[in-house]
Amino acid sequence: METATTQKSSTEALQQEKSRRLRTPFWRTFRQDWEVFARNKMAVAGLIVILVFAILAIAHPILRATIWQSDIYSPITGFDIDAAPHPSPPSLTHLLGTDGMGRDVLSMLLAATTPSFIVGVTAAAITAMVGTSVGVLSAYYRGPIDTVFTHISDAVILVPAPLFMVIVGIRFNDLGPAPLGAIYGILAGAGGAAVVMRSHALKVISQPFVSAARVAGGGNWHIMFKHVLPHMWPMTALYMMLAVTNAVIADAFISFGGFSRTYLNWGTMIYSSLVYAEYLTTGFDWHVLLPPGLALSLFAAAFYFVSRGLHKVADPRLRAR
Amino acid sequence: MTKYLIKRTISSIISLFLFLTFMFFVMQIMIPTDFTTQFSLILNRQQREQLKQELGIDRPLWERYLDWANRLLRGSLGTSFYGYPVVNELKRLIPKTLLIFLSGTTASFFFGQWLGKKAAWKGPGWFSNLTTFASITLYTSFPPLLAFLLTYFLGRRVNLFRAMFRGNALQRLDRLLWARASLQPEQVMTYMMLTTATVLGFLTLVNWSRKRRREPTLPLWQQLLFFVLGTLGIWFLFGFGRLALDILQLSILPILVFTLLSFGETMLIMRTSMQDTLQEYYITTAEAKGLPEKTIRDKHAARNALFPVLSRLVISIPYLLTGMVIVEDVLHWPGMSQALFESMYNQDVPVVMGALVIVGIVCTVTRLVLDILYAYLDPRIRYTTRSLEAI
Repeated sequence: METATTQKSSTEALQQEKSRRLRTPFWRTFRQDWEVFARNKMAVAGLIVILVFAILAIAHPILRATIWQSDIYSPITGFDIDAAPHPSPPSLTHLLGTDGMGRDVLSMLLAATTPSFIVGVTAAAITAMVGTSVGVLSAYYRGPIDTVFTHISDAVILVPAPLFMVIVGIRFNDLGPAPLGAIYGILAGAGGAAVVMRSHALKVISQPFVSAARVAGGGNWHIMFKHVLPHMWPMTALYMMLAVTNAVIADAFISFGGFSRTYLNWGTMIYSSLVYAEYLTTGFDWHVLLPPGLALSLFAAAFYFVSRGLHKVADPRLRAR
Repeated sequence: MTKYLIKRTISSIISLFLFLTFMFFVMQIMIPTDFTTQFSLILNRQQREQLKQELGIDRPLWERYLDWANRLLRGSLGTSFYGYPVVNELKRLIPKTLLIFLSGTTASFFFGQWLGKKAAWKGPGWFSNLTTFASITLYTSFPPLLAFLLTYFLGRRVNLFRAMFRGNALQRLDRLLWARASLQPEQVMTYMMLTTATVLGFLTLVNWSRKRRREPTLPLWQQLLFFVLGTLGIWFLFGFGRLALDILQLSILPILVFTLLSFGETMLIMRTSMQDTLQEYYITTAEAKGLPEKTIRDKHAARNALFPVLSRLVISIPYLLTGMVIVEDVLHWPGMSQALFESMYNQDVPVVMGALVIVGIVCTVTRLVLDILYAYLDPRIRYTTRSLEAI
């Protein structure tokens, strides 16, 4: 009886230990990764800026529901008759002034944050998926698959992104932010990202543990998912961040050309501000032109800084010393 | 080495053809209506059908594609829907774009890698912080807005350059001078690029032969002096010096804007890559051997740190070449990228495809040249027969 309980408790302890061991490595690596990441002050600052943008995106509908009168502060059709003539300089009621059509600049700025996030996140996810799968597959199988994928990605690299995105903008001028991000993601993922991922995967696959796994009887998919992919994720994350930066700028470029009219973004704001400036005799209204440009830069720069931090995590050589 | 070169050439030609095919179908499928329905509303149905037949857009898509590919392989770019041969139009446009693109890219590459090298070598401090901040600002800002702001302040506020806000920029050339000249601006631009390339090639040859004979290379200021004097000397010797200077005066603002738009990325990549390289053991070894700092920085570190910069440059060339439209649009510079976008709005498929052929060829040739350079710099490449990004 007594021995049975001790046996039972010891097996329980063993199981607990086993599950703890199974659990700890992930947390430990995550904590280690975070420590390396946090050493880079700018990367942490970038994360904070992204958080602030997220808060602003959430704050906009709340502000319109509570403090701001919904019809006056509408980012698309708003008009404040008290602040005329438009564009009016910054005042207490309109913190960044109003634009040529009488819309509140701050409200437009906040409204444009959500689409930017959606474009960036979709582009990042699709880039990561396409880039990683193409890179890993062609690095793992080599041979004809590699040849086909390499030629395709070489051809995709040649596709001029501005032209392609404008063609997409003309053809599908009612496209929402998510499909647009997806199209950009496919372009970036099959092109530049796939090439870099392939070379990174080649390095991973040449390591002894992959041969060991093969000798131990691991199938192709097992090796790719369990042994190669975990080593790819920091590089993938790095490319995701870069994709956000580029996709947001590309999205703004389409709107800047005046093609994408279904949702408001910072490119549209810059475009319309420059168009109105053509008809104004008073010169440029900087309080309308500069905030969207600054917001775009800050948004892109934040993701860039995070990608720099991840670069340190991704490259173990930099970590050791 | 020869085998490697042949393999690379064949595979890049295949990629080029894949790219052109893709863009052909994108152009045809994406553009909603065809040329005649959108631009000839005054025609009646019969005339429209006739026009369609004349332009050859009534046939099925695959037939048009085969026809186009067949003509391209025989070296013809076809005629525009407006009736002129595409080649003549492109001949007029290419020098204007290449002048800005080549000089801007070269300037941004050398300036960017030099700054990145310095910033990484000096370590944390005001120089590094300042240059990094400037590069990140330039890299992440919205290019059209940045181009506009630069033009506005450099061209209008500070009256350093001839500002170009309306009309065709080339109309601002010195009329009296060009009335007496027998040359066209495009020809002068071509000659300018050719002579500059010749002088640069000569300089490289001199440096190479000095290195071969184990003599120290010429100091930088002597090389620069030789370059400037040599180029100017050839220009005036052949009798188009005044014209060339006139063009240069006009094109300095576009070149400057383009350089500033594209150099941030180069600097940032060079800086991080140089920082990574400085961690390597062979740098410590070189320091322990007591080599002079300059040798370690330029020969041991910078040469190895240059690879990621070059491979990034290769990837971003198509983007830069068509991104020229931003500079050309803001400064009213009548170049190829602007024409490319304009003919796309006009649904003039032959012109768009012609311009894309040029873009593709420029990118592929640059890529091949960089591949050769890479193989020369890094012997590992020669045996793996892969492109640059593999290392």
